[in-house]
Formats: sequence, C-alpha cells, structure tokens
Amino acid sequence: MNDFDTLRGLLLHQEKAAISELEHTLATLLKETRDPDLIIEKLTPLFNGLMHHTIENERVQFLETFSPIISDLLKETIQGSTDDIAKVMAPIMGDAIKEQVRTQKDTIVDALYPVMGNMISKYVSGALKDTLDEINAKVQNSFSSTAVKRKIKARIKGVSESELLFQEVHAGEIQTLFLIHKASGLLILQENRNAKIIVEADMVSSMLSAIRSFVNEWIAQSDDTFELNAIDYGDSKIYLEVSGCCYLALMVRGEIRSEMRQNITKVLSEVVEKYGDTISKFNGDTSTLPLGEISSKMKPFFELEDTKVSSPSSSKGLMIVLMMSALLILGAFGYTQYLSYIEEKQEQNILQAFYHTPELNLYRLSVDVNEKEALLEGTVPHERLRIIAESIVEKEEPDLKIDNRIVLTVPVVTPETVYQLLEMLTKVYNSYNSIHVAFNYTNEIVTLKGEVPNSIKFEEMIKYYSEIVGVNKLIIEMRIKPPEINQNITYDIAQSTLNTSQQEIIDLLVKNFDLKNMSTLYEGYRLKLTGYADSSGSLEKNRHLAHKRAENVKHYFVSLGVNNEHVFIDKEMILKSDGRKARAVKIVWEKIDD
Amino acid sequence: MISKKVVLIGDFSTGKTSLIRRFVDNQFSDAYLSTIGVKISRKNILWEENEIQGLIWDIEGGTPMKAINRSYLLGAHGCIVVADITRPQTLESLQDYIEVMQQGPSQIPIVVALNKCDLIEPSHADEIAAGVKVKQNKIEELYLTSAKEGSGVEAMFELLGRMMIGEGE
Repeated sequence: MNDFDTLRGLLLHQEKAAISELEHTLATLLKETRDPDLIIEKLTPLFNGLMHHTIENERVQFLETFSPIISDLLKETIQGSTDDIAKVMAPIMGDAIKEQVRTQKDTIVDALYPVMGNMISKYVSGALKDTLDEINAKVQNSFSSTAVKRKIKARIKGVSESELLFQEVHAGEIQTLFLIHKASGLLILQENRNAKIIVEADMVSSMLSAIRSFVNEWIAQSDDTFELNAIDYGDSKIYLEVSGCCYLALMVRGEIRSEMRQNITKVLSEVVEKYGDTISKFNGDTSTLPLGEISSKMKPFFELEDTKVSSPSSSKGLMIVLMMSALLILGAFGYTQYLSYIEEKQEQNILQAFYHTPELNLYRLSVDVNEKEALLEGTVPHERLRIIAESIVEKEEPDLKIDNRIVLTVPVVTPETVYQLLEMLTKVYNSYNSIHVAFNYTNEIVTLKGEVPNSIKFEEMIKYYSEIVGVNKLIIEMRIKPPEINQNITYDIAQSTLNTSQQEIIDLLVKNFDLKNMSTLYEGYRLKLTGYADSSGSLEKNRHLAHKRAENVKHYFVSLGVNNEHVFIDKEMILKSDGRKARAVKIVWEKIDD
Repeated sequence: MISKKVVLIGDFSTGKTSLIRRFVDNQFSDAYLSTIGVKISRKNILWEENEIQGLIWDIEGGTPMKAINRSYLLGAHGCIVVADITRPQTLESLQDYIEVMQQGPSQIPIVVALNKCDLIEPSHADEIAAGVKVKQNKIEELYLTSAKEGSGVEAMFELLGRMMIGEGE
C-alpha cells in the first residue's frame, strides 16, 4: 500500500463505513423490490386504506373505472353459479316485489297484466266448465215453450244452452269505447258505433275516473285496492277493464257474452304491452300517441253480429208448430216415464224380497224389468239359490216373464270373504227385534252366540250359517229365548170368569206366539200363570178367588189348543193394595228345568 | 287539442268551487254548498294564440278530521291551493297541501290563491301575501283573488295554463 491509499483510507474512514452500510441497505432494498411475495405482504395492510381514500376523494373517477367491469363481473358470476345466486337473491325477492308493489304498483301491474289475464281465464274457465255443466244439466229438465225454443236454437247454433240463457233478452252491443289514462282521467281515444260521437267525452272520462277513486276510498275496507267493474243503468252497462296505466270504458246496450269480455281483456293487454310506456307518459297531448294503431285494434269490438229477436209474425207460426210438437213429445215422454216408473217399482219390489231372504241377501243380485220381462243377473254359489231367486220373482210379480241369467260361480274362499259373509248374514238377522246374535270366527271355526226367539229360527240360522262357503265347523252357543209376553189380565172386584175382551187378549197371544205349537217352537219353555187378588175380605176367600182366576185362564188356553202340559199355575199372590193391578192373572215364560 | 288535469285543493269553505264557477261560468253566489267528493268542470284556457282544454277537479275541502283523497290528485298537471285570506288557519294549512302535492312522482306547477280578498283592505292583503311568499318558496306564483268580484281569477288560470305547457319558466 502506498502513502496515497493510506491517506485515502484514513481520510475516508467514516465515509467508508457509511458507504458499506449504504451498500448493504441498497442490496436489501433491491432484493425486496424484486421479490413479489414480499411486495404483496407489505402492500396488503395498506390496501384497504388506499381504497377507502380513493373512494372518499375520487369517487366519481373510481366509479367510472369500475362500473364497466361490474356488469361483466355479475354476468360471469351468474353464469357460473346460477343456483347460488338464486339462493342468495331468493329471500330478498319477496320483499323487493312487495316494496315495488307498494310504491310503483302500476309498473308491476303493467308487467304482469298481459300474462295474468290468460293465467286466470284458463283457471277460471276450467272451474267454470263444471258450473256450466251443472247449469246445463239443470236446464235440461226445465220444460217451457221458451225453454224448448231455446233448446232448439242452441242445437242449431251449436252453442251450449246456458250461453244462450245468458243473453236471453238482447245480445249486447258495444255503443261506445273510451280509452282513458288512468292517473289523470284524461281521454286518450274514443270509438263509436254509427259514428255518433259523445259530445262531452272528456268530462265523462274524468268523472268515471273520479267515481273509481271515490268508490275505492269509501268502499274499500282494507288496504287492498279493488276496481269498479261495471256500472249498470237501465238496460245498458258501462264495463270497465282496468290495466296499470290506462283503462277501457265500454258503453254496452244489453249484456256482453263472456267470450267477448275475454276478447276485451286480451286486446287491452296487447295495447298495454305495446304502447304501455308511451301511454303512461301521456301528458294530455294526444298527438304524442299512435292513435291510429291503437284505434285499429279496438275497431273489431264494433263488428258484433246482430242477434235481434225475430219479427212477431214469423215467430207466431213457429210457436204453433213448436206447441204441437211439444205436446206430442210431452205425450210420448209422459207415457215412457210412466212405464219406467212402473218397471222401477217392480224392480224395487223384487229386490226387497231378495233382501228379506237371508240366504240370497249375501249375494249381489240385480233385477232389470223391461217390457214385461224381468232380467235376473248376478252370481250365487249353489244352483238351489238360483231357483229360489226365480221363485221369489214368480211370487212377487206373477205376470212378468223371467229371464234368469244368474250364474253359478265357485266363489273364492278366503278368510276375508268368509268373514264378510258372516257379517252380512248376522246383520240381517240382527235386524229382527227378537234376534240378538254375534259370531266369532277364528281358525275356520265359527262360534255363534246369542238369543233366538224360537226353534224354527234356531234351526234355520244353523242351516244358513253352516252353508256359508268356507265355514267348516260351527259351534252353537245360541239359546232359544221366547219373546217377552208381559201380559196381564185384569179383573173387576170378585170377578173370576173371563169376559169377551179378556178372552180376546188370550186369543191374540195364542195367535201371535203360535202357542199351539209351543212344544216345538219354544222347546224347554212353558207358560206360568200367577193369580192375584187384593186383600179386601178374608184371606181364604181371596186365595180361592186368585186360584180360580188362574184356572179359568188355563182352561181357556187349553180350549184354544194349547197343550195342557205347557201351562203351569203358580202359587197365588195376595196383594195389600186394592187397585186393579191387585186383581189379575200374570202370564210369563218359564224355563223348564230338566 | 291538448288536455290538462288541474286540481283545486285547500281547506273547506275557502272558495274553491266559487273560483271555478267564476272562471267557467263567470258567475258567483253567496250560498255555501259544501262539495262532496269531487266535481269536475271543463273550460278551455286561452292566452295569446294558445288554447288548452282544462279538466278542473274541484276536490272537497279538507278538515282536521279528514284528509283529502290522494287518488284524486294522481296525474294532475297543475294545482291551485286555495286559502281564505280572512281565516289564518287556512293559511297555515297551505304548507300541508303543498307538501302533499310535492310528494307526487313529478313536480307540477303549483299556484296559491288567497281568496276572498274583497273582504279586507288591499294593504292588509299585501301584507299577508308577503308573509306567505316568504314561507313558500316552491310555488310558482301567489295570487290575491276574489271569486265574488272576479279579480285575479282569469290571470291565475292563464298563468297555470302557461306553466303546464312549459312556457314562462
């Protein structure tokens, strides 16, 4: 090292240190600025502040820069994930629409109006069709000369009668049409049949608008707004068809058909769709609107066919012809009605007889009586039942020819069918007052319990139940219980012989209960007679009296043919009272113990 | 012909119906028949070579119990708010009516009529007018009118007509 360098080193010692420090710092700096990750790390905390500052101070420029991108951004996002966006938007949509309806109702109405009409009329006509069908059915049954005329007219025109009904008086004719700006009530367009211009049309349209507002304010109950649909006066009507920005007022003589009404709605919605915007901006200057185009859309309303009532003279001749044919038809109709009434009664009769025959009751049989012939149809499991059915018909309606088409089937036997048949038969039997029976069906064994009034019925029931297809074993726990007699014969004081009216009582008993055949019918039962006397007088005498009374009753029973063995006289009873009840003979059933 | 809807609003018995009657029929009657709902009159408004058809809606006067039916005000192209210069209460109501009109979707010309000024001294009338003008800065013009004598009525309708067409801004 030479002296110069040493001198330089000594002089620039501090500077050297500074320089090497600077070199170091510079190197680090260079490194950092070349390292993107590091730059990002450093800038990130500042970013929000930067944005905030920009938006605050340079808002307009910021917006200008970003707005072109926003719509593209949205488009990208929406295309990519429609479902997610929809999910996010969905909760807001309801409220958004609500808000829109609240503040800008007319815009929404105009937007939906073209669609709503079709939606609703489609739904309504579907619902209405049923009503119309009903009306038609009812109308079929009416029978007056106007009704006949209308029916014929309907057939000729190929239209449903009820539609003609709607225009009975005159057909509706549109006389004048106004298209009115809804908000201001100013008249946009006027069309007239017969070129008869209404002079104060502007006044009329303003007043109509005022009426609509008035009615809505005073009559609408809640926040809903409703529309005035029509104003009736005399035989004319002003129909109002309202959309969002405008409405139609039609002056009509008579009634217009529902399909015309639908046409009106349709045309108005077309006008609204096409010219709605222009119309809503209407400021009173009609030169700003394409009146010619709108007018041409409305013209068809005036081309309605004229269906006036025909002149009197020709209708009279028609009336006479109609009356004659009506009478003829009436006569023929009446006769056929009568015949079918008779036939129906016969059918009912036969079916009732079937119902009351327990064996047949289980099987579905039908009877059709036509021209003196009874057609029997149905299915039964035995030939015997076929024959029974036929014989019933012969008995009930002897002068009918019988066409017996009842077929035999091998019925399908399942526990369910057996149960059903058991149920049906039991129901039939229980419909008799004196029979109470119940069955139990398990493991193909049927157990019958209950009370039956006599042995004949008892045997019959066993037979029918066991005949049910599928019943293999029948256990009888039924018992015969004769129906209650509850009959007392009452006497005058000291009387013991029977007078005629008392004898009649016993006659009836014997007849109703068939007591002559008591032994077979009510096996195990006998009649028990108890003689009563009151306590006036000596006990001995009263006893004798009571016994005599019972004896005479028994005697009479036997004289009528009742078996002596089956009438038993019980110990006489002496009662403390002296009323008529104390002077009697009581007759009850008694079970004979073996 | 251009048609415009003009509405007259204001407290009851301020002279709305009379103003219209003066304008349309050029008549006046002292009898007071309260208007129910709305009454519509038609009169062509002319000035210079212009003519517009005015459909004038005379709306029943508001009371403390009953506010006016806003649906009548829809679609109006011009408005006249009427007060009875002899009843201060009606002057105070002016503010409310003007606010209602300003709530509409578009700003329409509003004119104030201080009616029945035949009943007070002209100087007093001017005083009151000045007081009202200070408070209301959104109105087009203020008129001192007398339906009875006819002063100010024609001029008022004429001005409103111009404003509705868009002249004289």
